[in-house]
Amino acid sequence: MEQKSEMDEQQYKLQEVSKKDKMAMTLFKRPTPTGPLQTLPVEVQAMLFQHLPPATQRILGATSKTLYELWKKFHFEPLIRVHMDEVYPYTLITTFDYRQILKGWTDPRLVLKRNNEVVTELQIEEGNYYFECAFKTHGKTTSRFGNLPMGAERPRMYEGEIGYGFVVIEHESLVEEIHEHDEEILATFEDNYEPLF
Amino acid sequence: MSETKIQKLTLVANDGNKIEVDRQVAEKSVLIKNMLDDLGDEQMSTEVPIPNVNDTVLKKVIEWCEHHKNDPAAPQDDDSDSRKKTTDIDEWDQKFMQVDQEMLFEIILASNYLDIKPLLDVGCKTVANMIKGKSPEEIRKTFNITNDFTPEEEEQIRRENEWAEDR
Repeated sequence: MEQKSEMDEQQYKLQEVSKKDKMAMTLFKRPTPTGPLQTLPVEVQAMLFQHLPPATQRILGATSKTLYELWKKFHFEPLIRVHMDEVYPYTLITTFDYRQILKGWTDPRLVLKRNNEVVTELQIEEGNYYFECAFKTHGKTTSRFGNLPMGAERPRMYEGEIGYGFVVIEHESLVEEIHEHDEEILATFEDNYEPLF
Repeated sequence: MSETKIQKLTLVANDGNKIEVDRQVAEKSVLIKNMLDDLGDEQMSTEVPIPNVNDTVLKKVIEWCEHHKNDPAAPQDDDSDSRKKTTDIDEWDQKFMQVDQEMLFEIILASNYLDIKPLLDVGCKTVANMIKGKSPEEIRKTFNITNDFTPEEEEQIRRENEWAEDR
């Protein structure tokens, strides 16, 4: 009786294996793209990506194979790049799921290390950056600013980015809005830290 | 003998409907402008077929060209490294783009075919604004995108998009 049940068990295992094998051997048939975005010419899709900030490019790339390949070819980087406006959008309506994704990416975790010491949490608030555990910062002043009326003076912009862990946050502000204190912090930081990436 | 430039063109949509437009308006399309330059006015005095665009969409595109006919030509490729500001859409253009999704994509396709870069930009910016602030699943839903990833590809994307301490 015991022998029989052992045989049954073996038989059952064999059946299970063959079921898995069959599933593995079934070829995946990729569904034909149907939506208007998927069927746009590839050069238009590429142009569309250029109009998106980095985290949104990553999100769009995660929607379908063709869009993923485009993102991977032109915008992929191992670090997760986010623009400040994507975390704190002023005018954009964002969904709960989107905010959860962004929170997951920009949440600094508490295990970042600098010189082998665990450092405090990076805090990012609107307009304020605390650099204690940032690995990299870099910035430049630029006068690039699109769509100005003819003859208007181009405002000077400060474009910068801070990195921590595997996230890089891009930010920019009008030069006039940068306080002396911020510039001091930035200068100290830039003097003391080697860029890691 | 002095050459006189033709001032009106007749565009023929793919459903056979004819639309007469000013040359200046039609020349917002680089495709038509190049055609005029290459073939000369004599050849172009007849109708210009636009086989990839239907009447409704062509009228809409012409409406945009009419409104922007006096705009200065955009500088070529100043966008090599800068991400374009999606929110910078002119108020008139925003209203112009308040159409259903099918029409929006038809306008994008027509402007791509007719090579009207500023209109294509406005179309792309409008779609970009519809994408921003949504999760992948919500974007799929908005644009009827089929999730065609294999489970292995999904896993790879998950790994690429997660926070890893020791990558």
